[in-house]
Amino acid sequence: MIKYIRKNCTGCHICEVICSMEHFGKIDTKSALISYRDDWPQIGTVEFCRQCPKRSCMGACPEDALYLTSENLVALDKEKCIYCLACSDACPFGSLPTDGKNPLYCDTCSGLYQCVKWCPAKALKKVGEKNV
Amino acid sequence: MKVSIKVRYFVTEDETIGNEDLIIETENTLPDAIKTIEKVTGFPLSYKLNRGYGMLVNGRSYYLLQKEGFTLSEGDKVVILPKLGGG
Amino acid sequence: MSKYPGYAGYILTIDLTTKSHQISELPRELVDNYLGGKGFAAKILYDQLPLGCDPLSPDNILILAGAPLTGTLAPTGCRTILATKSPLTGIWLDSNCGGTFGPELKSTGFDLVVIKGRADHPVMIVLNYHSVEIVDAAELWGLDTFSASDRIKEQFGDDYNVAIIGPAGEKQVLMSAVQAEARSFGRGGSGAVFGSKNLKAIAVRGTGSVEIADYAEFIKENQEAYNEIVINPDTGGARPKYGTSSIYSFIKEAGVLPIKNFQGGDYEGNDQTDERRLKKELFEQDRACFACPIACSKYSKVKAGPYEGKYVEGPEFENFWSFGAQCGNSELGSIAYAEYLCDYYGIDAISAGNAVGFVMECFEKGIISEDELGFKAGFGNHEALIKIIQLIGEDKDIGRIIGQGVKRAAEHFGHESSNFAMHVKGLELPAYDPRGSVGMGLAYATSDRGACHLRAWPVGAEVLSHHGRLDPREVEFKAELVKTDQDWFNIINSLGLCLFSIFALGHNQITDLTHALTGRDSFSSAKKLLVIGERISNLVRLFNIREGITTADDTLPRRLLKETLPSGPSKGVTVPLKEMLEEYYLVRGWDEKGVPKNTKLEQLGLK
Repeated sequence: MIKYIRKNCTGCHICEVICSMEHFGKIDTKSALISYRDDWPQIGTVEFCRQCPKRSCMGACPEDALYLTSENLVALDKEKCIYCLACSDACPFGSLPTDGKNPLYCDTCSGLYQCVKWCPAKALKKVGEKNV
Repeated sequence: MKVSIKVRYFVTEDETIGNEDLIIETENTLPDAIKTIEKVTGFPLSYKLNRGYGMLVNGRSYYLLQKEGFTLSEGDKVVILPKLGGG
Repeated sequence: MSKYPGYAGYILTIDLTTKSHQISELPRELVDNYLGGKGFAAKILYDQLPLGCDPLSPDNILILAGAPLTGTLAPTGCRTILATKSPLTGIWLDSNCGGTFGPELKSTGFDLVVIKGRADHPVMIVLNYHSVEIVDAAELWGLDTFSASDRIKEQFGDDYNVAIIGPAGEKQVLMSAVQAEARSFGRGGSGAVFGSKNLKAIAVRGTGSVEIADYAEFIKENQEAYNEIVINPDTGGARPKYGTSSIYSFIKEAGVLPIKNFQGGDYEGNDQTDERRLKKELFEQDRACFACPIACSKYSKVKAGPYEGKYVEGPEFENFWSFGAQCGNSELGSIAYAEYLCDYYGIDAISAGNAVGFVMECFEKGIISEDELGFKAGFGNHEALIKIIQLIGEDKDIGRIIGQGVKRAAEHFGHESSNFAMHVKGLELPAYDPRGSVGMGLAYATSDRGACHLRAWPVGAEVLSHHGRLDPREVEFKAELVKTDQDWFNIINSLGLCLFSIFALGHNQITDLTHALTGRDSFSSAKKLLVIGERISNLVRLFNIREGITTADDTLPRRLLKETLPSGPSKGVTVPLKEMLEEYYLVRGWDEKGVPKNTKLEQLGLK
């Protein structure tokens, strides 16, 4: 899973930029699977699915729209999603980023973890192995 | 002739080498002072001066002073710093 | 792939008088010849602004110009230009803001927002992707920038970015600024132009994307660029640690830090005051602008003393000086609070601090009395500093006079105070005394918007003088140095990068980033970009000449030409401006009156 170390974060949004580049081939921060939320005059927080072992989101979904991929990552079936955001409310780390239609789930860039690689403040860290 | 000079590092080495003025005794020529500072602080000063670091004596560049045949006096102030951009 | 990778592709023109707008496509020639940001603004303003217009009339045009590297992965790619005719100086103004406003503006799908006319009541412009709303702002009028911004976000959404004026801009105070997410389009009175158009704010929130011409190349160039920034002792060492004040000790040591309105000398607490004290007593968290790995911005809080509890995003070097040494003031809490008040009211903190120092000198010389002011205002009096900033923000009493800039204030006070009103072309001098670095004097005298440290910055090179080639007291090489800086900084301001990127990145690196993003042949070499930079310098010069600038205006305050500092490494120096200026005109290809020659204009495609 990915750990967010808030005391290192500088609110630069680079995680959003590289995430959207990796997934869409262009810069489109509103569609990124990770999102920095400011809280001036202090650093706010970064929203993203940590792919944590607890998976409170899956139990909270009333439509059974969340499933585990073959790599054991939580993913969303958009057809089933009714955008109630119960998953986001249940998330123990805060809330999930959304694109206005669905909550967005980190897919680890197929194991490349681009946001971790590019974060200049070392506020994102890969911990442990992929969930089993 | 030996003189006592004050040496300070600005911004990048100011916590590793020392936050306050170091008082250093040295022969009064600039090359001697550089060698002495290197010995006392362990900082590779002559190497760094050729690679982006600068040194001021009483606010004037070491390179200009060298050209002018400057010699150090008692109480002179030396500061060492990397090349910095504006703010 | 869109027509212009890196760009949004469209120009928005808004007429506040008729509350109508037009969207047009970005023309190819504008892109290839002017790059973006400042370049775009220079071309549009030169072509469209009515000659000799009153900057506070509906005829003045306000431009927000985005840039190709803004809102991308390019390190420090966050900036946007605001350009207009300055009500403070009566000439060209371009002002530059960091933070997150620029990227968000770009995501609304516009590279340029051109605002004309005047609304007949307070309004706000709301931009979403290719959508424009002009909304009543009566409830926001009168509010400080923070409260008003909060209200807007409560109504529209907290992911909006807002460019906004405070009471100072509303009252058309000539040194008022436009704030944008706790950063500032600071200099030259852009706040007053907003106010004169009854424009309280521009709120933006978009969903547009930025395309990349050569993805693999762009990634590779960025990897190298980020690496360069991180390993550099300035951008990766001093600046993250001390913020923009990382140069404070250096500037002070070199005799370049102006003291007490450029009189020099000493003041209580001067010895103990530097960037280390700032960090120890105030800094709490680091903050970066969009896409920036440097993170020079700081969240600060005053933990003790008479200003306990005050907080600010800052203090920045310029304000550490303008409210500090310029006012003979070492009370750090008051410096933080003064900077906060400039954000709150929307005031240029450089001009404000410079102006307060001017008032303090006038007070000590008996030109202004305690009776007239209502309080004492000698150097070091930090309560007077705070009081004067508040009065500037409220456009009251002494604030009403000094808020119009030191040039007009000196005309008002008389008694030869014009001799020490520290401005060039009406814009107040920032934190470098050119008697410690004469090339900086040339930079101030020839800057296109008045005394400015962001058009050319020869200070570091002159003072550190690698291999003894430059001497801070001598004229040799300064003309060439200043011209090259000005042309290259135009490029940085047309690309949307922060100037701090150039302390680590060279011309070729920046060119490669630009070329990989845009794929345009016009940007395939640094040489081509430098031509664009030179074109912008000349076009803005033509604009200024049209508005009445002559070689007599390319000058410095009398104090710097005739008076010397009493002590320090710059003791005894006056700025040898005439010689440097003659050589500058020569290397620029201008005649002895400072007018671009036809040969130069033809060379740049400006004839």
